Amino acid sequence: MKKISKWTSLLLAAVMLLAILAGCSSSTDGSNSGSANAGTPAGPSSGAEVKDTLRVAMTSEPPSLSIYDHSSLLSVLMNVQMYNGLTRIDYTTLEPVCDLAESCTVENEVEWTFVLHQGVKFHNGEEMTSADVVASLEYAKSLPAATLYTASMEKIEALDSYTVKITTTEPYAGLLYDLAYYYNFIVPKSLIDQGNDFNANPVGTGPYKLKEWNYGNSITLERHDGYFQADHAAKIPTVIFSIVPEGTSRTIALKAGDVDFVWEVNSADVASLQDSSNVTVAEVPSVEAVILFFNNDKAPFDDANLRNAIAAAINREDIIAAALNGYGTVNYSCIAQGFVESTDTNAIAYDLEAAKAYLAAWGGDPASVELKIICSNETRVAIGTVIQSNLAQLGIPVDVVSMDTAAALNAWKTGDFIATMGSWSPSNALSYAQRFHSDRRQTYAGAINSPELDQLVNRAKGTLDSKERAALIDQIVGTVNSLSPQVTLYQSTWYRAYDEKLDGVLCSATGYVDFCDVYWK
Amino acid sequence: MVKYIAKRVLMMIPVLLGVILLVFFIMNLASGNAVLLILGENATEEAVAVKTRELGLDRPILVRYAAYVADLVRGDMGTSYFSSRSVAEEVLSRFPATLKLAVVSAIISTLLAIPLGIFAAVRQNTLFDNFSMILSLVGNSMPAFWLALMLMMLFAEKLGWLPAQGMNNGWRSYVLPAVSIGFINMAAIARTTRSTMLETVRQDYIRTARAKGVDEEAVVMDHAFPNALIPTITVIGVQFGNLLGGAILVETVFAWPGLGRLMVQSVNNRDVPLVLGCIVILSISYSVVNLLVDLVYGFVDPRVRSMYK
Repeated sequence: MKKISKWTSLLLAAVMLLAILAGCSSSTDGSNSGSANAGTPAGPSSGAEVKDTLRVAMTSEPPSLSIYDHSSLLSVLMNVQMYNGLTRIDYTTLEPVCDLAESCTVENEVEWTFVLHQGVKFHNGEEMTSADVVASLEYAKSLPAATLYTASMEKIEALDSYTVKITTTEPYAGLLYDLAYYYNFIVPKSLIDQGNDFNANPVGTGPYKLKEWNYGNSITLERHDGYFQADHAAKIPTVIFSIVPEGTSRTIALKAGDVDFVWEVNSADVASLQDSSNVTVAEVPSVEAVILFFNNDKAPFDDANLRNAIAAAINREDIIAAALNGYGTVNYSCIAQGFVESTDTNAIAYDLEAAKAYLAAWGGDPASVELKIICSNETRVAIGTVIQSNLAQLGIPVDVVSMDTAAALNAWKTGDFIATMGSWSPSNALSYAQRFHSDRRQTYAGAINSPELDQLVNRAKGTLDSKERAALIDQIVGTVNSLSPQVTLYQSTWYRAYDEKLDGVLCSATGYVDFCDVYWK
Repeated sequence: MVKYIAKRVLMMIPVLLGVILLVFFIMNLASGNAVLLILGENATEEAVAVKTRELGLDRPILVRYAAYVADLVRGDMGTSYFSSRSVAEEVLSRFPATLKLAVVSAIISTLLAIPLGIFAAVRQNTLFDNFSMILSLVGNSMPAFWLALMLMMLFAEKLGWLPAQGMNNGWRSYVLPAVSIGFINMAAIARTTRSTMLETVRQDYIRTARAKGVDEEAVVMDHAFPNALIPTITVIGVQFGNLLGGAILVETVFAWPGLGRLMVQSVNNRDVPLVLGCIVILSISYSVVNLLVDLVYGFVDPRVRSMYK
């Protein structure tokens, strides 16, 4: 009896330890405390009670909440909730509109005057003035990582407390787009002067401010009560962004009512969610183009006929059906479709006979082409396999090389590649067009050395009249399409899923959502 | 005993240095680095150069290694390339989640496996024995992430009893991930317990005990089980050590903010200081668990205890 009780006591000790651990864990994250659903096990928003929390499932943790030193879409998603720029991109039209600026006047071809909203408060309570705008833009200019979006601004001056003048180095049509770029968001001058770490202490003017960052677990934002635009103020007081890396887990979490909004739905789960009651699935045709890039500096890919042959031989329908479960949009043009200026002039569509004709014009032996395509994820490997099958019809052997993102980027940047897949989702057509300029050769694999093209791009950049600029962009696209320095494979379709009781969800073709506009019905 | 423990602790130092050396060079020799991942595809050459200099990646690899070890000796694990946060802060914020999950899983697996193994052994070739071994086989063969997804679908989606992800719901958050891991680990512990118990119950001293008329329960629990325990403790220790490295797949499925996920993410990001920080904590934890296992040997077996003196 005595001995038996020893084992019983061990068992009891183990049970007690479990209980203690459970007790210790109950306050790991208090972020649920604001949820009307907290403590209830399942089922999206039961009852008529209006929730005060929105729980969003994200794929991974944003590397930074700062507007500086990152290139992460998830960080930008966080940035747009917490900061504002002088302008922002309208999510419906994809055109720049005034944001912190109340009005914008083009004084002459290089001088722009911005009148600021008055009474705008930063999250730390300070009022935003032109001194903050000047300091923020000057600071962004000082960062080499922001050069592409700041180099056009030669001089930034505060004319008075609420008026700022920006002088560009030359006539530049992209200024309003650049000002909506996250590096150019406005932060308090006082914090810039203090060397504030905006990752640890993100202070902007946005509709939400940081409440808590539970590293690896969740980011909680709370409403910024002093937000300057009443119609754009946060309707739900608290938004919790949870990190749920696994796609199926995100889907189950939404169905189970653990989260209210899934930022990125796996294509394999779309049908199941569409069949689910209580869930709305938003299909978002994006402006993100997935592209096959060649190393145009190296033979034989320095020959446009070979590139055109490959462009004509790749069946985009096959790619969407076989590698993307049918979720994607065919695009043959070098620019994404969806912008006002989008065009498909001279686009080379799938045509095997035309491909053979281009190949004959090239004159080389297709078997001698060593087309090694670097693919940095499973979907791209699947796409590579479809391309392999397509190009076999021309006798061109394709080697699909799988690498992780870091290795693929390194190969790209060092020029140590023959072909690679990448994606681009700029917010405007001019950005797309600018990338084909030869001075972008170091940063964009699709850029080509063509003086004629450079001249067209320079003219488009400097043309403030939108119609004239659209005509120039059409010429640029036509020229690029006829040379195929890159082959657009498809345009991504994104899926966002959310509790059907949510309204005001506007998913932008650039990928972002303003959660301040979302509300519980 | 104190001398033994001190010796084992000192032995951790060369182990740590060796592991750091290996991981440091593997990470630095791997293709790609954090700079391009931070700055993105359209980074200019100037931006890449500035960031490379800022992160100290322009220095020779041996200089970087020496600097890292020197900082580590002073207790500075460096700064994450990506988040710019202290590595110690990042790693230590994740480690408790991993530790708690590991402890709960180990308790679940041990509580299930040991009785299963003992009963299977004392009732060898019975229906119960066959059942327990089939259960162990299933546990050994089944991928943990698959079991995790199935449990999640049933208990979170269909029944709505338990949360599907995260650790924000107190003890309820632990049930599914801990059971997923615990069930898989249970299989190996049960098999080991059964096989060592089978070996032990055939020993002469067990026969003698039975001949002396000792109660069968006492024969099993007092005479056989303690002597069969050492291999079982070894298996539990090894599994617990592995869990401290993070049950990566289960952490991913359940969005558990543990060390395993952090480590995989930092390897993908080429965030060398963060990878090394995870490895240092992992190595220390593993060494400590091994030491504890050795001490437990002494607790259950006086012959081992006498060797510590």
